[in-house]
Amino acid sequence: MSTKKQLRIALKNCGVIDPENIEEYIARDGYMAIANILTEMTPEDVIEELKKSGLRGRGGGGFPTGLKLEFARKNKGKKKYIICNADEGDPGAFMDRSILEGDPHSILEAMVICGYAVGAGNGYIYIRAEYPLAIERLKIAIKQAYKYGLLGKNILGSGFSFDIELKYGAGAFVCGEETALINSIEGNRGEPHFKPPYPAEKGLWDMPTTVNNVETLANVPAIFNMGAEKFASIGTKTSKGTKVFALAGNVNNVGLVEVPMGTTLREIVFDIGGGITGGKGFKAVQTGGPSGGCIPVQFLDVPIDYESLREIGSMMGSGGMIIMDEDTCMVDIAKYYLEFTTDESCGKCTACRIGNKRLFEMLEKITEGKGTEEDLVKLKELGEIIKDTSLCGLGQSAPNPVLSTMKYFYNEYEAHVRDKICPAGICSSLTKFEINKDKCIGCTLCAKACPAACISGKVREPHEIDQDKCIKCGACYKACKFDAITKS
Amino acid sequence: MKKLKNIEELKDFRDKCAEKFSGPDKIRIIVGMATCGIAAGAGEVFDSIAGEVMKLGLGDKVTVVRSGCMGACHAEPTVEISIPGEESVLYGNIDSQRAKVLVKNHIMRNEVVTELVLEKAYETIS
Repeated sequence: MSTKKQLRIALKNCGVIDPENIEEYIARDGYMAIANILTEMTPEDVIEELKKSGLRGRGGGGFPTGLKLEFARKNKGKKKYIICNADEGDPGAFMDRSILEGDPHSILEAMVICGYAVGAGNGYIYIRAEYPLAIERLKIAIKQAYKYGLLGKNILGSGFSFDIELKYGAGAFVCGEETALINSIEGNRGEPHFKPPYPAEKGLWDMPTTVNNVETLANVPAIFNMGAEKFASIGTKTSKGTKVFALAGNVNNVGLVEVPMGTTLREIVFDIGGGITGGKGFKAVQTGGPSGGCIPVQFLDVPIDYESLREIGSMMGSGGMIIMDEDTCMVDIAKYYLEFTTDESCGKCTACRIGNKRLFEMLEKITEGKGTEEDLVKLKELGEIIKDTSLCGLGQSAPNPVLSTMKYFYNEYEAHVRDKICPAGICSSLTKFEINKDKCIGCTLCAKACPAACISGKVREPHEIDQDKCIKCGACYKACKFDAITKS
Repeated sequence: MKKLKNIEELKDFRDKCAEKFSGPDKIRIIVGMATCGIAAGAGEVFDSIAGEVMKLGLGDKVTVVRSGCMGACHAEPTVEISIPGEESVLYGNIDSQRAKVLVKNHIMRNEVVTELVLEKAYETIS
C-alpha cells in the first residue's frame, strides 16, 4: 500500500486538464464510459453496476445512487428528468465548485449515463448564480459536447438522445433541498414540500426525476471506467469510495482533499492538514455545515463514514470541514450557525421559522452573559422539538450545531451561564481586559490604541482600564508589547 | 470537427488527443485557475509563464494550460510542471517573478526549484 493518504477519484481530472478543452477530457478516457454503456449495456445493467459499486449520495443524506435511479426507472411518466444539484451553500464548502470548474465534462457524461439508466431525455444543472466561472466553463463544456455529438440527438449513433440545460439559483440555501430545488426550476418559490411523493415518483413538472449532487455524479463515469468491484473495494463496509472535503479554519494546509472513506479525522487534520495553525491545540472539527455538528478531540481516531459521523452527533453532509483551535468558543460557533439557518429558513414551517429564531436569541443571551440555567434546559428541549417537527432537512438539522456542542462542550455553556465567563475569551460581553501593574512600563501604546479612550495613566507609570467604558475590542491587548494586558 | 458517430470513432479520436497532449516531447506547465487560484493571482502567473515561454522560444515543446483547482488552497497560486519520463513537480506560492524562475530553471536548465516545491500528497485512481 502506498503511504499517501489521499486518493483522487472525483477529483481525478481537477488541476490536471484544461476544463475548457473537451479534447483533454477525451484524451483521459472521457466519454468512454457512456460510449461503452450505450454499446454494450442495458439500462438495468447500468443500475445494477451502480448498486454493486455501493455509491451513495455525496450531497448529505447518503442515499444509494443505484437505488435512486432504479425508482425513477420503474416509475412511469411521459417524460423523465435528471437534475444535477450544484446549489452548494454550506459556509466554507467548495467541493462542487472545484469539480465544476476543473472537470465539467465528467458531470455532463454522468448525467447522460443517469439519463440512459432511468430513461430520461432531459437534464438540468441547477447552479447558483454566485459561481460565474463554473457557469462559464459548464456552458463551454455543453457547447463542445453538442458539437462532438456527445450530447443531443442520437448520441454516438446509439439512438439515445439527451439534452442538458443550465438553471440558475439565486443563492437560497434551502434550494439545495431537492423538492425546493424542483420548485425553483419550475419558477415557483423555493420552498420544500412533504415527501412522499419523492422526486422519483413526482418530481419536476410532476414527472419522475432523479436529483444527484455534483460530487456523486463525478464518481459515476469513474466507476464504469474502473469497474464497480474496484470502487467497492475502497472505503468501509457501508460507505464505498472516497469523499472530498473542503478543509478550512485553523489548519495549516487549508485545501481540497479527497480521502478514502474510513480515513480518520486525525489523518485529515494532522497528516494532510499539517496540524493546527500557530501550534495551538485542537478543539473540534465541524462537519456537515449548518446541518452537522462539532466533533471533539476524543473522536479523532474514528474512521469516518456516513454511519460513524451520525453516531457521534454530526453528519457527512456535503463535505465542508472546519477545524477549530483551542481559542474557539463553542457557544459562539453554535450561534454563528443558527444565525445562518435563521436567515436561510424559507419560513414555511413554524418550528423552523420561529423555533430557530428563539434558539438564536437564547444563544445571543447566553453569549452576552444574561443566560440562565433554565435557558440551557429550554435550548435542548426546543432543539429536539424543531428537529422532530420541521418538514425538510434544513429545519430538521438546524439545531444540530447547538445540540452537538451542548453534548460535548456543556462545561462551556455552564461557564457562560453560571460563572458569566467565556473560557475562550471570544464573547466580548464576558471578556475582561486588565493591566498587570507589575508588567506595565507605561509606554502608552495601549492608551493610544484604545478607540474608547478608557485607558489612563502617566508616561512611565502603570496604566489602568476604566471597566465601565471598555468596549472589549481587544485593541490594547494586541498593542501591548510587554504582555502586561490580560484577557479573562 | 464532425460529430462522433460511434464508439470506434471516439476511440480513434481519444488516441489522437492522447498523442497530442502527452507525446514524448510534450512538456506541460499547468496553472491552477479555479476561482480561488485566480483570486490569488493565477491570472498574472499564467501570463508571465506564457510570456516567458514565448520569449525563450519554447512555444513548440511547452504547452501552458489553464486548469481547475489543484487542492492546495494554502499555497495558491499553484503550478505543476510535467516533463515526459519524469515525475511531475508541484509548486506553490508562485507569483509572476517566481513563474519566470520556474521556466528558466526547471524547463531550460532542468533544475527543480526546491524551495518552492509542494508535496504532492495524493494518488489518482487509474
